[in-house]
Amino acid sequence: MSDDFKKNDSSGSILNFVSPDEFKKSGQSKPVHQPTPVPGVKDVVAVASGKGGVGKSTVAFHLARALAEQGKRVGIADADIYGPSQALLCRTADVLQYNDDATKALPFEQNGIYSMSIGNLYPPEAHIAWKGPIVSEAVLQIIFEVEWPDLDLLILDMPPGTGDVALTILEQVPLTGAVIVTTPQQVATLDAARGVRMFHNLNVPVFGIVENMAWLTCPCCGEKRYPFGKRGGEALASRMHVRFLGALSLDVQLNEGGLMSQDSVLCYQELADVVAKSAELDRQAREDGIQKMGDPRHGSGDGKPTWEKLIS
Amino acid sequence: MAVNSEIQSQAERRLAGIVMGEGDSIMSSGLVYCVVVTGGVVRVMIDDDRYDLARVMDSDLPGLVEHELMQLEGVSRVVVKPKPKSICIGEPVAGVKHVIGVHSVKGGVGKSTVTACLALAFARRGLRTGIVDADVYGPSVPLMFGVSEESEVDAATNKMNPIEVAGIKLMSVGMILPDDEPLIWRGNLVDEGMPQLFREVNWGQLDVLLIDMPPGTGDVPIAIARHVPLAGIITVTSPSILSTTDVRRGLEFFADVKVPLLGIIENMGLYQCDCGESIALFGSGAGSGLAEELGVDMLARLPFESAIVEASEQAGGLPETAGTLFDGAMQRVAMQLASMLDVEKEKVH
Repeated sequence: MSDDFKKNDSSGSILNFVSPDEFKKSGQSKPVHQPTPVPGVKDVVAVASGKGGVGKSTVAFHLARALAEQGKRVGIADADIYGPSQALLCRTADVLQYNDDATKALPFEQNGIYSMSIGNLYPPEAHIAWKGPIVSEAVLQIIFEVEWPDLDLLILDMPPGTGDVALTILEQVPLTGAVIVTTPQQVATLDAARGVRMFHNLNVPVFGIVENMAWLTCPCCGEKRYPFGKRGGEALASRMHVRFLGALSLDVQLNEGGLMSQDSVLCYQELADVVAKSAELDRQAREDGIQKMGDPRHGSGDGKPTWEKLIS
Repeated sequence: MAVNSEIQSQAERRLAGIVMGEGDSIMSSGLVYCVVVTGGVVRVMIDDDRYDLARVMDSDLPGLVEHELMQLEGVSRVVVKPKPKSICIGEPVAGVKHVIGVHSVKGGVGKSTVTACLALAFARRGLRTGIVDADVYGPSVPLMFGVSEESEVDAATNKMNPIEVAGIKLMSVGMILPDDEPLIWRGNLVDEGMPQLFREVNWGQLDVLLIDMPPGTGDVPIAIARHVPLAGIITVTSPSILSTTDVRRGLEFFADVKVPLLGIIENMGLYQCDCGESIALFGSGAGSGLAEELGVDMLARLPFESAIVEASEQAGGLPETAGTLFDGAMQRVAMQLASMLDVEKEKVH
C-alpha cells in the first residue's frame, strides 16, 4: 500500500475547511484602508436592507436592468457572500476567466449587465463557512480585483444586516450613495432604519427607501391585498428624512415565469432615473465644492451626514 | 433519473477501481471514508485522520475521481473533500438535555417566528424549554415575547438570569444591551461572546434549548458549532426554489461539521385572499424538493398568515397568536422531534 498520502500532522484549525484558496487565485489580496476608486467605474451605488428576505437582490437586479435599458453601462457586484443570488438572477455561468496578465478576473456579461458573484465561483456543495475578515476580503476582491469595463454605475448588492462586513464595505469602498429596501412590515422597517443610520454615520448619502412587497393583486378577484401591512416603508422614509422612492408590488406571477406588472416596470424606471441623477449630483457635489470642507466621508468624524452640516 | 443509493453504489464500484501504489484501491485502503450522494451531486469524503489531506488534494486523485464519476448517469457534480468532522470543543451546557439550532442561510424566512412557535409547542407538551437568541446583529426574541427589561446577574452564581415568558426561558443579546444601536461584534468577539449566551446563564434544568440562529454561515454559526454540542439542526426555508441554493449551502456546512439535520420546515406558504383564493406568494416546492433530495423529514409546511405579521408588530403579541394559528402543525413537529431525540423518555419531573 502506498504511503503517498499518509498524514504527518493533524491540525484542528477551523481554517481547514474555510480556506478561500481557490478564491485567492483571482489575485493578490492587499489591504485597502481608505476608499480607493474602482478603476473604470464612475459611481458605486449600494442596495441594502437591514433585514434579509425583503427582496434586496431582486431590486438590485431589476434596478440594474432598468438602468441598462436607459443606456447606462451597468455592473452588479454581489457582496452577499453567504447567500449569493446574482449568479442565478443574472443567469451567468460558473467558469471564471481572467484578463491577459491573469491579475484580475473578468466579470460575466449577460444582456448588457456585467456581474460578479460568489455564486459564480462556488457550487452549493462548497458551503461558505467563512469568518468575518475572510468574507470582507472576498467582498473587496469581488469589487477591486475584477476588471470592470468602463461603467457608469456599479450596483453593489450588500449583505443583509449591519455587521462587520457591511462596515468594512462602507469604510473601504467609495460609495456614491445607497438605496435601502424594506417591506412594509415593522420588523423590516426597524432593521432598515438601522441600515439608514449606518450609512449616515459614515456619511454615505442615502438616495432613498424602496418599499418592496407593498401589495399584491389577487389573480382571482383582482383586489389589492397587503400581506405585509401598509405603507411601512413610506412612514420610515418620512421618519428618517430620506426620499421615498416608491412601492413595488409583489408580482406572484413571476414565480411561474410570468411577466412583471406594469406598475413594477414603471416603478423601476423611476427608480433608475432617481439613482442615476442622484449619483451624478452627489459625485459632482463631492468633486466640486464640498471637498473644501474636508473629505465629506472621513473629514469631521462627527458622525453627522453631510447635509446636516450644510444646514447648520 | 437514478436514485441516490443507486448512484452511490455505482460510484463506490468505480472508485474501487482506482488503485494507489502497490495495489490497494482508494476504497479498500480507507482513503475514501464515504461517498454521499444527494440530487446528482457526489461527495467523496477523504479520511484525513489517516491521510494527509493537502497531499491528496494536490495529487492527481481529485481529477481522476471526478473524471470517473462524471461518467455515471445522473451525476451532475463531483466534490472531493475531507470527511465530516465535529469542530465542537465545548462541554454540554449544564442542566440542558438537548440543544437544537433553528437555522436558515437566507434571511427573512421567518426563522425567529418558527423558533418561537416551536418553543411554545414544546412547552405545551410539558417540556422545560428555553430559547437562545443568537442573532446578535438583529435580535428579535425580546420584541416577539414583549421583553423590555434587562437580564439581571444573579449575585450568588454570577450568571445571568434568563427571562421567562409563557413558560419559556429566554436569553438574548437584546436583553444584555437593550440599546437600539447595531451591535458590531467583530471576528473573535463572537467566538468569545457566543459561549457566554449559553454557559453564563442560570437555565436551571431544561429538556430542550432552541437556538434562533442568524442567517448565513458566518461567525455565529461557526462559533455555535464550535462551542455548543448540538442535538441537531432544523432548517427553515421559504417555498421559493430560488432559496434552495442558499439552504443547501447551510446544510452542507452543518453536515461537514457533523451536526445532524433533524428536518426541514417550509414557511411563508399559501396566503389566503379574502375572496378565498389561495396564493403562493413565494412560489412552491422548495421544502419538499430539498426533503426528497436529502432524504430528510419535511417537518411542517406553514401557510403565510397576515395575523402573524400583525402580531409581530405588537410587543409580545406573538406567543398567543402563533400559538393558536400554528399550534396543530407545531405540536406535530414537537412530537416528532421529541421522539427523535427521546426527550420524553428522559423527562424528569
